[in-house]
Amino acid sequence: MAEYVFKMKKGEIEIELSSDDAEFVEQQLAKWREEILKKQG
Amino acid sequence: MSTYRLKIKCNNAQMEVVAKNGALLAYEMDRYLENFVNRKIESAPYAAPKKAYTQEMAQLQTILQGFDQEQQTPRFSQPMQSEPAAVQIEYTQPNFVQETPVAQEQPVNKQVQNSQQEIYINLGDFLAANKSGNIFSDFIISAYYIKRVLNINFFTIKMLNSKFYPATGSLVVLSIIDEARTRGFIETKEEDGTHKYTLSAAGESYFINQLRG
Repeated sequence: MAEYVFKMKKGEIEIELSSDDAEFVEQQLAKWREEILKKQG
Repeated sequence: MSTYRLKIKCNNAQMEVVAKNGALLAYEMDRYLENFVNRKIESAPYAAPKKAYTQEMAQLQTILQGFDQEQQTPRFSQPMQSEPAAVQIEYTQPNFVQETPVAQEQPVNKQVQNSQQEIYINLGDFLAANKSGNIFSDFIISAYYIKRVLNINFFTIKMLNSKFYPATGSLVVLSIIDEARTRGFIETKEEDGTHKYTLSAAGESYFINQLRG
């Protein structure tokens, strides 16, 4: 079964999400991308 | 069933949450995302209802409290709250145990070190923390682990061996179970044509008095 890993780092904080639920990881990734891009904008 | 794992590292501190329920991790992810972008994040489709989340945490707390009592060692630097900002544990639910290679390398009483607070509740650690020595003792300890740590009342041989073999390199066979049953340590029931077993009160007493580390 495939495993999807989503890792991000900010300063000293590092967060890693992994799951074999592709939809879940995709949703989380999309949300993080959207929020971070909002912040950048 | 899918597995969800969330690791948080900050300097020397590390936490890891493992669950079979994505809602729990989505909830935690939202909290960290809020910190990352410094604003409130709206709930996602996977966001856990507060009630469900609280129930899970209560269940988790119950499991860990039982485990703490057996080990008689403190596990947390502060008491768990209903909605902790960070869950400093590896989260396991009944049927959902994740046994990591790291967990198998270290006994339970060495898990909490300095600021790194990780708790790995796997059978290998549990056996190492108690007086295992022969396959019968290991079986009784494992039955106790399933009943009181995983909070699963009845187990099948297949389920038991799926945890027992990786931890011990041995398999529990019927003769072991029969011996335990003869001594009154195991109770049996048949469900859907499958034999299921549970540790009896006498078995629990045997574990507590003879096998607990």
